[in-house]
Amino acid sequence: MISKELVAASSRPLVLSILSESENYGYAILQRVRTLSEERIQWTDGMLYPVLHRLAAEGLVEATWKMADNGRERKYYRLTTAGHEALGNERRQWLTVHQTLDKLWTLQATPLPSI
Amino acid sequence: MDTPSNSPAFDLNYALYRWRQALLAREAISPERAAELESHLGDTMVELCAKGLSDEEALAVAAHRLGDPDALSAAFAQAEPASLWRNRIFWMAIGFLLVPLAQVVAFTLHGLVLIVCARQGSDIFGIVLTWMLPLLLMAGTLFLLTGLAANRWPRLTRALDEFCSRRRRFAWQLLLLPLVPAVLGGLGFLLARQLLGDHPGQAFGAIMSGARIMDRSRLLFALWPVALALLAAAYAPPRFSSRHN
Repeated sequence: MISKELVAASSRPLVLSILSESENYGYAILQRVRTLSEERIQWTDGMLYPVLHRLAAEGLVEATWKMADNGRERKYYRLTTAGHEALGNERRQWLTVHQTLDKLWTLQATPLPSI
Repeated sequence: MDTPSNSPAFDLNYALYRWRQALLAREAISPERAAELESHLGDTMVELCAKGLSDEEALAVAAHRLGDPDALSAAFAQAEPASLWRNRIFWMAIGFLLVPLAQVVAFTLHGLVLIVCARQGSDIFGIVLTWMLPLLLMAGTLFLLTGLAANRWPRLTRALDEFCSRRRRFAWQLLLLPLVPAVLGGLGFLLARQLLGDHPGQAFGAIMSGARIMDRSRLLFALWPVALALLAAAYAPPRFSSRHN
């Protein structure tokens, strides 16, 4: 299981990346994170929405209410141009951290414990 | 496998209503945010019911997964503090607009009571009513406000929420609000003259000459309600679909 702090820190690049594929709504975003992380990244469902609203306030995503096939209304989020730029930025930062740790652990030849 | 069943007294609509009210009671959860969370709750419940849970169980699990309302409200407030202040300023502006309106209504009623009593010639009755009326009006206002706060009339609360969420129409209605005291005041004056036996035309002339004598600079204060109305219209809660209610 991933720690709370890391889950909170990674929510931003995760949401931006998922929205860069296509516009989407909260429930489906969470499902995608669950599947991709094989249930190891666990969010309290509701906590996704403050993240989305924060991104909207920063102008990185836009939201519209749409009627789904089952008659339920959902709020869809879409990445803006600024959002695409922010995602590029996030990606560079996370890759830097990832590459640095990876090099260190390769040099040290530390065996990977199961999580 | 057993067929899923709810406890006998379970009413899904009522349970959802209770859940929504608990969310809306939090300061940082606007009707639109509650609607979005409810849409999520619905999706989770569909998933859980497909796995064989009853509506009652699915609601409990889905609500638990969404998280505690206090924690959610705190997270929203932290993520977007400005929205909290937009909401507070909106209600402050509404309050400032409603106070002069309430005063005009109170003064008009008071004036009418005095006139009627003067015509009837019953002094004691008039004096008692004159002292009682401000207290009665205050009690009525407190009753109305505490009733709203306790959600004593859910249909009225819902109608008010609906009204406030219609941003564009609301802007125009707010601009009309400053006019209401002026119109009411004028009508009250005309009525008073009428009751006292004066010709309404004379009363109208009196109002017009009063307006001419009035210090010109005071007219600038008339801009206050207009500015407040515009502020409230700009910060009114954003429109969202009412189908969730």
